[in-house]
Amino acid sequence: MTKHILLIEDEPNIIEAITFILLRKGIKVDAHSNGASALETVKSTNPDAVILDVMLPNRSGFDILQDIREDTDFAEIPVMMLTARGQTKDRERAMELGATAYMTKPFSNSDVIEAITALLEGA
Amino acid sequence: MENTPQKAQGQGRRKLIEFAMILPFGGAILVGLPLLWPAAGGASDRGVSTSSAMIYLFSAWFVMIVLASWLSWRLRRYQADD
Amino acid sequence: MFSTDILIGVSLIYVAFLFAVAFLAERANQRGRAKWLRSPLTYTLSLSVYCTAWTFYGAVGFAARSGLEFLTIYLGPTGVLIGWWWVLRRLVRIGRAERITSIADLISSRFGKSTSLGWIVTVLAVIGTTPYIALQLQSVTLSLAVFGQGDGAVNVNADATALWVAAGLAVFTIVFGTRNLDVNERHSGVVMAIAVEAVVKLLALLAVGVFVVWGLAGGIGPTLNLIDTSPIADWSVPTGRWIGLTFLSAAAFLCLPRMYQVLVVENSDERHLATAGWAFPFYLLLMSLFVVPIAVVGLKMMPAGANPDLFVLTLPLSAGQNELAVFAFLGGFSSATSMVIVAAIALSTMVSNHIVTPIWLRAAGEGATVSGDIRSVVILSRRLSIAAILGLGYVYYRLSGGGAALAAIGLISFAGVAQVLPVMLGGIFWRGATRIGAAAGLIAGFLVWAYTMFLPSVGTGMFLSDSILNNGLFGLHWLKPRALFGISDLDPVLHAVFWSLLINTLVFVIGSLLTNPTPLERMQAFQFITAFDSGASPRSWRSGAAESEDLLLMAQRILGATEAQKLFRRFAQDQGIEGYLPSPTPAFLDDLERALAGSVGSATAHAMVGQMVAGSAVTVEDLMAVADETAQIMEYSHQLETKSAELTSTATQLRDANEKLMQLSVQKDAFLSQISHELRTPMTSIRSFSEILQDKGLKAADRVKYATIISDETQRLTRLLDDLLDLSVLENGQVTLNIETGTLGQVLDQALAATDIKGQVTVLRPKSRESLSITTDLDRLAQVVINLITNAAKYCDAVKPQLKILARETDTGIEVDFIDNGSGVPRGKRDLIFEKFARISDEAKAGSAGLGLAICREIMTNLGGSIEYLPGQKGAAFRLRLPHQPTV
Repeated sequence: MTKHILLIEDEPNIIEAITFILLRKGIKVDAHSNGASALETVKSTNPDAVILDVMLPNRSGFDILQDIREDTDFAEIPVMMLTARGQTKDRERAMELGATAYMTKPFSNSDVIEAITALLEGA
Repeated sequence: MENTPQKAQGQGRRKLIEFAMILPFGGAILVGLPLLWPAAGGASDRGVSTSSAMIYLFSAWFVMIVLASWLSWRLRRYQADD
Repeated sequence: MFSTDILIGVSLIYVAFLFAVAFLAERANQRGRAKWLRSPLTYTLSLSVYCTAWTFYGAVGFAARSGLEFLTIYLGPTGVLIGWWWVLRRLVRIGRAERITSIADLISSRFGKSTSLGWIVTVLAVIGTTPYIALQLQSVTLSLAVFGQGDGAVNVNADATALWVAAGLAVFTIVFGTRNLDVNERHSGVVMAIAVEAVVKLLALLAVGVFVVWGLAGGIGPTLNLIDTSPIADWSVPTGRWIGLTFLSAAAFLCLPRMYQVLVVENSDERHLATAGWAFPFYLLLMSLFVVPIAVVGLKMMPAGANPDLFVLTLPLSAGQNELAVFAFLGGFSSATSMVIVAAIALSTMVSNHIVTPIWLRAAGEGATVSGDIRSVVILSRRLSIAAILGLGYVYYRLSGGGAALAAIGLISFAGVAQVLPVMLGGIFWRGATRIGAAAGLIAGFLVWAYTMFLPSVGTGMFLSDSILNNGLFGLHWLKPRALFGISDLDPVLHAVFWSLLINTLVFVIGSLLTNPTPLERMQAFQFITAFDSGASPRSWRSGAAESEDLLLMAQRILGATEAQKLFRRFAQDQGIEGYLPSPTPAFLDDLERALAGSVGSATAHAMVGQMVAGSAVTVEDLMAVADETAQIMEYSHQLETKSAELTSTATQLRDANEKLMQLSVQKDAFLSQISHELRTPMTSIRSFSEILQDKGLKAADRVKYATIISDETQRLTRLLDDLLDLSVLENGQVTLNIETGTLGQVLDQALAATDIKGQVTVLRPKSRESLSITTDLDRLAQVVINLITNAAKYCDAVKPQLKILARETDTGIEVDFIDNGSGVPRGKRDLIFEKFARISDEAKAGSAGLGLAICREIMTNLGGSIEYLPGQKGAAFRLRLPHQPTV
């Protein structure tokens, strides 16, 4: 059974890169690029895990994470924050809000694959 | 008397303004004066001639103009000092 | 001899010359280098519209019939001007402070901005002035006819001449009198032409006088002898007429619409009055100096029965001095035309502000203040009014048969407009005068004047039957038009003036005593009567519920965009606010209303502001301070107001500064995060795709695609670093400017060529102003323009996006507006858009880091100019300002 994940990210090139490297490992990727309707997309696609950018148009990744955790259906879904904000307080905030993993941009492709595999196995 | 320069100037200006206010009345009297002259055919056999009346009126008129221009010149100096 | 054709040719050349003078004066004024246009001398000469053809030709006739009595017509105004400190100074001060546009506006404004009073005075003025315009037309045709007779040729068609003169004057007046809706309602072109005409008519009369005295009579001595042997040799002026006519001419001088126009409305500096106070009496003296000599020489030398009204022309003609006669004709022509032009301007302002605009506003309904195009309505109504007034003058001329009946019109007209005098003087000196009293007094005086003077003058049978004239109205003897209350041996003019003004004043005073003023009336009374006491002035508005932006929209429709924006900017600066939107305080609403009144009259302006700030008009309670008139309270409240204004301004500045500081600190953090984000995002793609490229089994097509992405992202990174460096250099003021001179058009062309916006947005460029020369760093300016154009292409959300680029020259430099037709920047975000990394919309657009406008602002600052968001436009609008010379 192919696993599939939802990538919430507004940079088209990054979407393309992540989709490419995960697809080669047999993981299907849905992409969504607007902060406002992210939760609805999570509900409608029902992914195995979520990769979440922080700086999104209309609604920040932190707020979306909070929305996901407050929804009983997705309180336990693995979420990896993937962000260009590397400050410690950002990482701490993400963890407090219930992120499963935290990775900063730029990333090495193998790190992403490793982290996602871990998330999917943990689930 | 202790008249400071400002005070003196203020007084001078007030005097000028009072003068400006009185001037038209002086003019009215000057121009009204011919009405008291005997008219032709009155008690005296011969009235004042038009030529002398004309000379009088134009002189009075001219005097008023000179006074008014002097006044305007002085007032402007005060205004410039303000 | 020469034909009338030559004369008409000379007149046409003279008219063309006047057009040129008016045109050049107006252009010089627009360019702001016209100090001499507004000199005391020009002001004094412009007052000469008082001397019409009636005085130019008629004074000699008057003197030939009644000796020195004609002097009364000049002595009255002399008295008014020499006593300028009493009334004129007050009128000019009030007129300027309250932006009064006409005598009707003065009365309307004083009595609570009453529309009906403005209407009454306007109607009165039109009725009083129309015959006078007819008189001017007649004088031109008569004087032309004089030359025609000498010619022996076919008589000039008098009616056709009058029609042509009326039409020509209408064109001149429309062109120079209504070119724009000036905030100050001043017409520098017209005033200059009038001043030139003043010189021409004075020189013409003096020339004729000198010729008559030294050329015909043989010097001063013989002339005086001639006077003493003439039919008017004796001084025999009736006391009543001497005083009465002097008073009447003084009253008319103050009340004639055209005199109010030149005395108050066209006055650009109060101090000019002090000069005119002696200089204009001197002008009048010169105008009347040779009147008696010309009259007596004419009486002696011209055949019996010759019209003494035309001696000024016929004397030189009969002596074979054709050139002098032509000059005299031009003098008379000048007198007639200058009167008609100024009267038409004054009346058209009154008709449009007090009759047409109020009716139009009512008809157009509530929304008119915001949506209607008021300026064009006002200008159109003025143009039509001018045409109508001159048409009316012509019709009157035709109806009256152009005969002798017109000659008496001068004094009748004077007496008609003098009916405004009691209300005017009462208005500026008597606080208790009320609107109802004023209306009643005006109507009563007007009716009595019409009954005793105007209607009888038109001739029996027209309006008044013989039986009324001889037996009184309803057969009541004490109502005989020329012998009211049985007083029958008074001179008819004196009789009419005496009764009309007496009844007018009585009704006005009693009416005022019996009625109570409204709050607005009280307040206007206070403003008018205390015009010279600086201090507390009550406000007619409470803090408004209106949005400043809506007020700006309205003001732009009346004053025009440039003026309105200038005005709002100044108000905002006074309040310590940057930009174009001051807060709608009572003081601001008052000042705004006053500025609007300068264009559309006080009553209309008040109604318009009233619509915008519904329910904020002042109440009786608000006016308790006005009713309490002790000096201490005034002084105290004045101090309080000054202090509180200072405090408000300081507080606003402090709050702004504090907010800025807070924002700066937040921004510093945000800036670092942003930089980090903006740098890391392209790096992420680059790193990820270079790792992918290292894989062996990649398809060739993918390989090319991913390499391209890497290359694009590298460029993006470079651009970002360039922008950041640029910004840092600009912010520190270390930038080296490459100052060149070019035209604005070049810069815009260069910028448009550098952007690729085809199909995204249509650029509209009215090119008329783009030839403006600018001296600045042209490349940097183009960089700003490129930014604004690409922004419009990116963010304008209209179906058919358009970008208008408008340029204009101001006193300090040039302004260029960039206005698109999208939905604009929301109010709350306008302060932020010039900050670094601020994006106008929430949607991230590719390749934009939000540094563009921040760089624009820094560039403009470095060039000595500014860039601002311009509110009050439909779409997003930016204004660039540049000084003429770069400040180094």
